[in-house]
Amino acid sequence: MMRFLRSHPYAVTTIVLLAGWYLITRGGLVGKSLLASPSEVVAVLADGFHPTGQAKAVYHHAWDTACRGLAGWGIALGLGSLAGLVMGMSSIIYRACEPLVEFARAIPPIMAFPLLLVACDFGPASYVWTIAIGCLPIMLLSVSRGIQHMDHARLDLLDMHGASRPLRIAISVIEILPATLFGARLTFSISLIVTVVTEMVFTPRSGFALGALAKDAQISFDTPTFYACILILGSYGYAANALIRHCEWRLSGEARRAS
Amino acid sequence: MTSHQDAQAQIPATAPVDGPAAAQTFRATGISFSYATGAGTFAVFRDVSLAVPRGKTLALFGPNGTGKSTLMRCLAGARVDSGRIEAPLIGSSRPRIGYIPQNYVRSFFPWATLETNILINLPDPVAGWRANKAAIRDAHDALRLDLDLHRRPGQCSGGMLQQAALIRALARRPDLLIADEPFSALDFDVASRVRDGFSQAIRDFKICAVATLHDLQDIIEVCDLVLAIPGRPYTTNPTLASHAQARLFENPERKRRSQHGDGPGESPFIRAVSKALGVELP
Ligand SMILES: Nc1ncnc2c1ncn2[C@@H]1O[C@H](COP(=O)(O)OP(=O)(O)O)[C@@H](O)[C@H]1O
Ligand SMILES: [Mg+2]
Repeated sequence: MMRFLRSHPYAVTTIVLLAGWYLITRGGLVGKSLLASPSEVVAVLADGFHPTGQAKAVYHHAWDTACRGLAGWGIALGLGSLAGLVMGMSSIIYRACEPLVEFARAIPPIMAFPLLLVACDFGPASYVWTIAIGCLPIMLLSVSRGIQHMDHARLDLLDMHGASRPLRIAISVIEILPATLFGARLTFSISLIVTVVTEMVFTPRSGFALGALAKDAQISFDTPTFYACILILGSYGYAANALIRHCEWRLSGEARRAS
Repeated sequence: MTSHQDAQAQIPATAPVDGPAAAQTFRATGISFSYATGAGTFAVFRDVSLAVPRGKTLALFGPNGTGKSTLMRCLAGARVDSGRIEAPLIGSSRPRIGYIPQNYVRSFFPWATLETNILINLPDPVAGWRANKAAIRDAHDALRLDLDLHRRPGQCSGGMLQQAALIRALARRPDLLIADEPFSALDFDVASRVRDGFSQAIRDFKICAVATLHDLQDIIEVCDLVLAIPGRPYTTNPTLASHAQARLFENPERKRRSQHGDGPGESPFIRAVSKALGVELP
C-alpha cells in the first residue's frame, strides 16, 4: 500500500481532495449555490448518458467544445510548426520576428473574435480561428527556440559521414519533435481556455458549448452542472498532457525509474 | 629543428612518400586553420603537413588545448583556411570517413537504439540496411566487444557509448579513420581487447588512421607513427607555437611487437594486475 502511494503520489492528493470535497458539502460548510456535492455532480455526468437526459446532454456540449478546441489547436500546431521552422532557421529572421510575436502574444485572442466573426461570415470557423490565433505565438516561439537551441553535434557527425539530403532532412524533423511536443503541451491548455472563454462570451449558434453551458448553469444556480463542466475540462487537459508527455518520454529515450 | 635532434627515429612531419605508395597515402599539405571569435581570429595552427600510409595509425600526442581536435576535424573535411588534403580512394569520388568525436556522448540520437544510431551513419542506409547490419556485427566482433546494441543511448554508460562510437566508425569501412581520444572511457579489460582489435582492423582493412591519444600504453600498442605536439601554455598563442615544433616519431616498440607477436602480457606488472582482475590478455 505504502509502496503504491509512493510510486503514485497523485493518488494521495486525488483521494484527499475528493474526501475533503465530500466532507465539506456533507457538513454544509459551504452553501449549495457555491459548491455542489460530489454525488450531485456524478448524477449530472451520469444523466448525460441517459437517453431522456436530453436537457442536460453534457456530453453533447463537451463533444462540440472538444471539436472546436482540437480544430483550433491543430491549425496552430501545423501553422506554428511551419512558421517556427522558418523563424528558427536563421537568427536574423528570429530576431526580426520575435518582437512581433511577443506583441501579438500579449493581446487576448478573444479581442480578435468580432473581426474573425465578420471574416468567417458569422460561421463556426470564427471560433476555430480565434483558438488558433491564441495558440499560435506560443507554438511559434517553442518551435523556433527549440531549433535555435538544438544540439548540432549528432547532425554534424551525419554530415561528416556524408549523409544524403533526404536522410538529413528526415532526421532533422525528428530532432525538432521535442520542441514541437513541448509547444503542443503548452498550447493545449491555452486552447481550452480560449475555447471556453469565447464560448462564455459569445454563445455559438448551435447552442452546444461547455462554456455556454457553464455560464447558464452559473446564472441559474445549477451548481452540479457547473462543476460537471469543470471536471470535464480538467480531464481534457489531464488526458492531453499525459498523452503528449508519454510521446516526449518515448522520444527522450530515457529509462523510467524502477520504483 | 633544434630540439629532439638526438631522437633516432625522428623523421620530418612532411615525410615524403614517393612511388606507388603515394596513391596509398592520406596526406595533408600545409593546412592552416583559425577560429573566428568575438575578439577577432584565433589561429590554431599554420602550415601543418602530415602523411599516413594505408594500414597505419598516426597518433597526435600533446597537452590539452593545442588544437588536436581542431586538426582532426580539418582532416575529416571541415573547412580550412588554406592547404590541401588528399586521401586514397576506393572507387568512389570522395574518401569515406569514419569519425569518432571526442564528445561521443553528444553524437548519439537519444530516440534511437545504438544499432539504429549506427545504421543511420552508415553509407546507403536505406537500400543497404541488411548489409549494414552485417557490417555492424563484423565491426563489433573485430573490436572484440560484447555490447548490447538494442539499448537506447540514455540507458548506456559512457564507456558503452564509446564502444558504440568505435563500432559506428569502423562499420563504415572507412578509407580514413579519425579517432579523437577513442579509448578514454574504456575499462581495463575492454581497452586491452579493443586496442588489439582496433590495430588489427586498421591493418586488415588498410585504413589510414589518425588518433588523438593521451595514454602512452595506447600509443605504444596501437600507433605506428606519433606526432608529438609540445605544450607551450604561456605563450600568447600557444597553439601556433606548439604546432610549429611538432615532431614525428616512429614507434619502434610496435615494429618489434609486430615482428615477434608479443602482447602486453610480457610486462610482469600488467600480468599481475590482469590476473587479479581475472582478465585475459591478448
Ligand atoms: N569553437 C571554438 N571557437 C574558438 N576557439 C576554439 C573553439 N574550439 C576550440 N577552440 C580553441 O582552440 C584551441 C584548440 O582546441 P582543441 O582543438 O579542442 O584542443 P585539443 O583537442 O588539443 O585539446 C583551444 O585553445 C581552444 O580554446
Ligand atoms: Mg581534443
